[in-house]
Amino acid sequence: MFHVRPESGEPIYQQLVRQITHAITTGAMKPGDRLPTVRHLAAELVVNPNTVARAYRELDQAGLVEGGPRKGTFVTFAPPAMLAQERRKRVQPHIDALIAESRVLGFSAEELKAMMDKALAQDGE
Amino acid sequence: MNGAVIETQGLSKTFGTVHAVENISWSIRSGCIFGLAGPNGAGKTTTIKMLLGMTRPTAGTGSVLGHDIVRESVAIRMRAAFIPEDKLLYDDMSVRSFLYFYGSFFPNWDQRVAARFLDAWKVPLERTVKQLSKGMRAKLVLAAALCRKPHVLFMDEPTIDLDPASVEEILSLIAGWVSDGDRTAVFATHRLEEVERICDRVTVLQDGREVLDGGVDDIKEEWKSLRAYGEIPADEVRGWPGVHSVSPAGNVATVVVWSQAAEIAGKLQAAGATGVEADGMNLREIYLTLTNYKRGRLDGAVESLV
Repeated sequence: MFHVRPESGEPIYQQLVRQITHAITTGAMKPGDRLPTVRHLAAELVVNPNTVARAYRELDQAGLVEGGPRKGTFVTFAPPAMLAQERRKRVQPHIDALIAESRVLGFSAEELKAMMDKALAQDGE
Repeated sequence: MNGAVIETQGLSKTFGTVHAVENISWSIRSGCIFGLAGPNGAGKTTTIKMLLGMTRPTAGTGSVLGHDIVRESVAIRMRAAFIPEDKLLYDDMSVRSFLYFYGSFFPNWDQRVAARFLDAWKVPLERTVKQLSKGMRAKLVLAAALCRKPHVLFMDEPTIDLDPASVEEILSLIAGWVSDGDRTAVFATHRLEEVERICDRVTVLQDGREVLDGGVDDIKEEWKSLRAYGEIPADEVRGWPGVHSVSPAGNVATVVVWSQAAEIAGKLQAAGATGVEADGMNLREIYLTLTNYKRGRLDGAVESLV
């Protein structure tokens, strides 16, 4: 799931922090998901266990995960509502453009809604 | 043990007029994979031999697991395992009898450790040692060292001449081994890319002296190569704290820094640079910068390292 490039100038613990943060903020890892143990990830990626432990500590301090060496490390962070807002913000310009274009071409609001429903229904099939 | 597992103060070794190792002062804590890097002849093996009491230091002191390296080397060798570069094995014995014979020397010997690894690696127990491939031999030696349940594992070039898959298996095993308790590994190698992967701390030796020492990730966080565009006062910049070297080339200067990269980038812009870009540096690049390596001028010692 994770991949490090040891020969990069970027410290390995930072590479791990970046990748795990990405997995959590995109929802690929969800609250309650368990991260691999330090030992397991170190042996799998062939990196130093202290380096993995350092990445986990950073993620813990950032509030993304919680745990310890004995009980395991779990994701605690869920992408906040702000992300839903962010998604809406990205779709909105397309809707505005669609409405503007439909007006220019003379479609009524009802016609546009009907076309939209039909398109969504087809998309759902 | 949470304190230092290996400590040295001013450890030095002179052979006649040759300073093989000069003034090494370390404090290595438990749980560390310590990379001892440097080209062939830099003093790596001599340092390890001093720590194990196999050769006497000319000056300085040291301890391993709390035992003095000169007076208590027997105690050290009971609790530490050493895999030398020239792995002498009993060629005509089968793998099984080798383990039985070798194990008889050590009170903590746990044959199950070897059985587990050798089974996973498919090392054939009935074959004679000399029939094994280089990769298999290296794994056998490592498995045998781990059967002694050492607290410290010293390895001198354990991956030399091995195929990439065997290197991977050995490094992975070491990473897992130190995770399981109070264990410390000292890994001497001339391959910086292996140090970069598996070690959390590194010392690079060059002609017996330390040229770089610290946490691998810390070093990478601090060392940056800045490209400064436009006119900069190169001689003045060379004197700034944190600046290692300045190499102007036309309108672009490369400023290598070992600390405070962000501040230095700001100062460069205030001093006339129109733009500054920062690049990370890997251990190889840092090493070459430190030893003032110039492309095209192949120095034998450097060549063997990179």
